[in-house]
Amino acid sequence: MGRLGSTRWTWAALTKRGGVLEIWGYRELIGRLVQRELGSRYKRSVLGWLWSMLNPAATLAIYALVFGVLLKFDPPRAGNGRFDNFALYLFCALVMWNAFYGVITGAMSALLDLGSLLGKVYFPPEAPAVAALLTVLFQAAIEASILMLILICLVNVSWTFLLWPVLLVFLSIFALGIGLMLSVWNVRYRDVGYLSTIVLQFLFYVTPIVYPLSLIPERAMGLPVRDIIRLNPLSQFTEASRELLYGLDWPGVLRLGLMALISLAVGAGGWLMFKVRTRDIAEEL
Amino acid sequence: MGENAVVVEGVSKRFRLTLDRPLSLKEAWTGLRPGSGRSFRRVRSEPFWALRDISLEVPRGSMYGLVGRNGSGKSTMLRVMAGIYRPTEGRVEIQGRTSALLELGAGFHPALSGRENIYLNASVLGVPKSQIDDRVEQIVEFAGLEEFIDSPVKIYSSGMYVRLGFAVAVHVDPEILIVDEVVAVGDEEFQLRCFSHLESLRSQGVTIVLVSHDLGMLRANCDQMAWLNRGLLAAVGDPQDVVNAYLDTIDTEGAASVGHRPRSDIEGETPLRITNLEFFDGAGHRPKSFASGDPLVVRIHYSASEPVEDPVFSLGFYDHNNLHLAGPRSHADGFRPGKVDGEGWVEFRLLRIPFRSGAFHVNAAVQDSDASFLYDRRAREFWLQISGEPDPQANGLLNLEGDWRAGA
Repeated sequence: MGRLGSTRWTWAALTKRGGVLEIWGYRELIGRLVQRELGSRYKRSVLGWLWSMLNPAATLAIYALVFGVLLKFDPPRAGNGRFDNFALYLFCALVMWNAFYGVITGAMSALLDLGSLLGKVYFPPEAPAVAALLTVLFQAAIEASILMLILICLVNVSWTFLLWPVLLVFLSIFALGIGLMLSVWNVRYRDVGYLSTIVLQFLFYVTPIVYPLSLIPERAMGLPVRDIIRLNPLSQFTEASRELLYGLDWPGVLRLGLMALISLAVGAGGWLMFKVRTRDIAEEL
Repeated sequence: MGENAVVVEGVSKRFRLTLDRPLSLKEAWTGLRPGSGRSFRRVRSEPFWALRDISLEVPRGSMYGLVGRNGSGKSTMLRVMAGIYRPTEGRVEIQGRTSALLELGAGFHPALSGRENIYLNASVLGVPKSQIDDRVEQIVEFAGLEEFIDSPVKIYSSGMYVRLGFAVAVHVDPEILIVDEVVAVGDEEFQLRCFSHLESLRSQGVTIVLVSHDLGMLRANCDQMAWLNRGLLAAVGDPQDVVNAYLDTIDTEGAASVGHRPRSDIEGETPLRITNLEFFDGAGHRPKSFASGDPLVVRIHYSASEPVEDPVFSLGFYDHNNLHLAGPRSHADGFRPGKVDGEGWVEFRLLRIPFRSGAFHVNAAVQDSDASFLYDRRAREFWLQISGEPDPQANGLLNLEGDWRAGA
C-alpha cells in the first residue's frame, strides 16, 4: 500500500515503474504528445500558426482598449524613463496569466482526454499533464519573444530579461501542482471543472493584470484589500514579470526566494498527491 | 534476471461497485443519496473481490494460458500483470518490457490516424522512434491496412482495430506479451496468422500470457495453464490436467443441475425422456477418464410416461470445437428396443475408443420409430474425458486401426 512512503530516495527507485519520477522514462511519449498537440493545432485554418499570435494580440487589444483607453488606467513609466504604454504594461502580466491558465485547464482536460488509454496500456498518468505544460510553455515562449522584441525596439531592455525565464519556470511548477490536483478531483467530480472556470475568472480580476496594484485602495469595506491581493501568489508572479520586463527592476532576493519556495511546495505537493490518488485511476476512468 | 518473467504472489483485487458512487461535490460533502429519503446516511460502496489470493509463476520464454468462465477474473488478472490495475493485496513482479493487448483498440486514441497511433503506442511501450520507423511498414502490412493507415482509427471496423492492435503489440519487441481474448475477433485467416506469429515469438524467447476459450488451442500450445474460478485459482500446472479439471466441473455442475430439473432441448410434455447418460469401462466401472483404445459403454437412461413402440436412440460425439465426429443410431445399427415403458436404459458398446486424448461431448437423442418425431435430446451436457499424453508424432483426432504394407 504505502509504496510511495517506503520508497528509498535514489534516482533508480524514483524512476522505476510506479516511482515518483517514473515520467523520466517516458520522455519519448511526452514528446509525442506535445508533437500531436502542436501538430493538430490550427489544422484546417487558413491563417494556421498565425493564430498563435493573433489570439493573444486580440485579447491584448481588447483589454488595452477597455482598461487603458476607455477607463484610462495609468501605467507607470517604463524602466528606461522615456515612455509609458498601458498595452505593454498589461502584456507583461498577461503572458504570466495565460501560462497559468493554460497549464491548469490543459492538465485537467489532458487527463480526461487521454485517460481512456490508461485502462488499456500502462503509462504514468501525469504524462498528459506534463505534455500539456510543455505545449503551454511553447506558446508562452512565442508570446514572450514578441513582447521582448517590442521592448528591445523601444530600447527598454536590461539584464533583468534574463531572469524572466526562471520566473516562468517557477510559475509553471506552481500551476502544474494546482493543475494536477484539480485534474484528479475532476475525474471523480466533474463539478471541479465547472467550478474552476468560475474561480479562474474571479482570480483573473483579483490579480493585478488589467490594472496596476497601485490602483487598488489600501482599505475597502474595512478590509486591507491591497494587501490581500498582494498576498495572492499569482500577483507576485505578474508583478515580478512587470518589474523584470517593463520596469527593468530586480524583484529582490527575498521575494524571488519566496516565489521559488511557494512554487516548489505547491508543485511537489500537487505531484505527490496526484501520484497517490492516481494509483487506481485506471478503474475510475 | 530470474527464471520467471512474471511472478504473482498472493494477489487479491478488490473493486468497489460504483453504482452508488457520489458523482458531485455536493453528494460527497453531505454523503446523501439524492432522493433516498433517508438523511445522513453515507453513500456506501460494495466491495467486490475479483481476485483472491492468486499466486502464479510464469517461466521466462513460456506460453501460459488462462482459462475460466466469463467473470472469473481472467481479464482482471491480465490487467494486474500488465500493471494497469494495482493489486489490493499481494504483489506482482514483472521482469521485461511488457506489451499488452487487452481489448479492442489496444490503447488507441480514436481521433488519431492509424500511423500516429502506432507511434503513440510505441512510445507508451518505451520503444524509441528510430526503431519504430523501421517497423511501421511491417506493422501496416501485417495488419493489412495499407489504405486506411492515415485515416483516424475511429472509422476503423472492429476487425481493423484488432488487427492493428495485434500488429503493434507484437512488433515492438516485447519481452512479455499479454493477450486477452481479442484475436478471436479477426477472421480465420488472421487468427491463424496471429497464432503462428505468437508461436514464432515464443521460439524467440518471448514470454506469452494469454486468455482463451479455445481449450484445444491452449492445451496444444501452452507450457502451463491456470484456471480461475470466481476469482480463485482452481488449478494450475500441466495444460492437460488443468483443461481436464476445468471440463470436469462443467460436467459435474451440469449433472448437479440435472438432479433438480431435467435439462433437455424439448420443452413441455413428451412421452419419452432421456434422464441421464453414463460412461462405463469394460469392467463395469465409471472412471473419471478413459484411455484411447479402451472399451467404452455409453448407457442412455430413459423414462417413458406412456408406452412407446420401437423408439430410435442415437448418440453424437463431438470434439471441443463442436466438430461432429460420429453419430451412431440404434435402428441403423440393426438394434430395435421394442416397446419401452417406465424407466430403463439402452447401451451403446464400443470395443476400442478411437478418439485421441481430449475432451469430447456426447449428445443423446430419442425419436419415434420412423425417425420423424423427436421425443427428447440432450446436447453439450455430457463430457467424455480421454486422457493420456498427447503423442507428438500422432496427428488428428482419431486412431484409425489400419495397418501399413509395402510393395514394389
